[in-house]
Parts: sequence; C-alpha cells; structure tokens
Amino acid sequence: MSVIEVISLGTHAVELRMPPVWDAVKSAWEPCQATLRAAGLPDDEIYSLCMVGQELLENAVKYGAHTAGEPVRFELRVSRDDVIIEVKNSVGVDPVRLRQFDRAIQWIRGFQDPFEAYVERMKVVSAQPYAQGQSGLGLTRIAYEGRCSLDFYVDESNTLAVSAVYRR
Amino acid sequence: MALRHRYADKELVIDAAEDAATVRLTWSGKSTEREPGRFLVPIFTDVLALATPAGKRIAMDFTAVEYMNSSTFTPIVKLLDEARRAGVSVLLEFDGARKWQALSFSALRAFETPDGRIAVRSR
Repeated sequence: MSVIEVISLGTHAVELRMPPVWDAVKSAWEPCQATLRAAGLPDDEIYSLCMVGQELLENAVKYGAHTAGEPVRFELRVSRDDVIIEVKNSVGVDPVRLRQFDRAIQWIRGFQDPFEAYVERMKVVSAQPYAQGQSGLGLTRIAYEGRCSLDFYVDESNTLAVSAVYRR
Repeated sequence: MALRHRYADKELVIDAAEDAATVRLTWSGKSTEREPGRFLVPIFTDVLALATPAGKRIAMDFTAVEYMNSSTFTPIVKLLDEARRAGVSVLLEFDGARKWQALSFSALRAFETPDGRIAVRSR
C-alpha cells in the first residue's frame, strides 16, 4: 500500500507528495479528478488531464534517481485560462538521460499536429524489438490526447520539473 | 476444443473465446502496470499461434476498458505488426462515444491495411 500526501492549495489547486513507487501513481487519479471537477471542467477534459498526470508520474517513477525518503511532487493548478500539471523528481546527475528527454520534447514540438507525432512514435515502437518500459509514447500521448504543451527545467539540486500546460 | 479462458492481472481482465472464424479477446478494467507486456505478450503469442494456422481472425474488443496507460499500446502495436507480417487478420473495436478511446484508437488507424486485414473500428 502506497501512501500519498494530499495538500490542498485552495479550491482549484492541489499538491501531492508520494513515494517513487509504481503503485502510488494511480493514487493520484482521485485527488486530481476531484480538483478538476471542483473547478468546473467537463468530464472529458477531466479524464484527459488525469491521464496526463498519470503519464507524467509514471515517467518520474520510471526514470527518476530517487534517494531514500524523497517524494515525487505533483502539482495541479487550474486557472481561468489554463490548467498546469507539474511533476518534480530527482534525476541525479545523468546528462545522457536529460539530453534524451530534451530531444524527446523537441521532437514532439517539431510536429505541427501532435497527432502526427503520436502516430509516428507508434510506428517506431511497432518496428522495434520489444523493450520493456521504454515506449516513449507517454510524452507524445500527453501532447496529442491531453492537448498539452510540454516543458521542463532542472534546478541546481538536479530536480527535474516537467510541466504540461493545457489551454482552456 | 475451442478456447475459452479468462486472463487477469490486477485490474485488467481479458476474456478469450474462439468460434469457427474468430479468436476474440474482450478487455475490461484498467491497464496500469509498469510493464504490461509481461502479461500481454504471452497472451498475444498464444492467440497468434492459434489463429495463424487456422486462418482465423483475431478480434479485440476494448469498449469496456476504463483506462490504459501508454505502455499498454506498445504490445498492441507490435501485435498488429506481427499479425500483418504473418498474414493474420486483426480487428480492434473501441467505443467511439468515449473521447479517450476515440482519440487513442484513431491513432491506431495508421496501422490499418488497404485490404482490411488490419482494421480499427468504432462500435
């Protein structure tokens, strides 16, 4: 059983802190859904933004370099114009991983329509030997199905913050 | 003896059934595992081995699925690729009234073949 800490940041925002373990990821769905519902978003948008949160958290757990007791931090903020989902986790000092991540974001941005990026990624995956856990589909799905733009930064403590911004 | 089996892994259930022309996999629940291929690939391997020599179509019904993470699509698109190369027909059915399914499975239409051997349809 994975325990997550839910911190309300007002009616339209929530912060979650969770252990970097796989089973904790799905625990984020309910507080995410409740916050989006309280903000008055329609059901389809709530579902797709919860999906965005799940995909970002899955990436954080999969690829983070976590130290003991250090949580993955998830923040969801709804405003009149947009919804911002940000996930922060430690990435250690692996410049190769960060370069790969940067390339993946830039690759998605290179497509005028994120649908094309998603289809292209699926074609690449279908033709590759099966590699457990490295489909690379999550980010393109966020851009396509979630209709979010992606960004990230790394701070001086090697914490990676990945944000998905949905324009309402 | 015709195939009839329920595969289950945590929140995901796949019911397999076979008739004279089709091997049908009916999905329900949620697919949220870190490596869904560990559960799905052996099922797909068995189903391909059953369908190929018998000339049967593989039909997968996703209409009752509530959620699939992106990692779940990897074994599915690889199955489509393997089936195409093996000359096996595959039909994927989704619920077009559910927006997430319409979006996800519309993208899979890129794998459809002109002869209809690989098809993705809304129900």
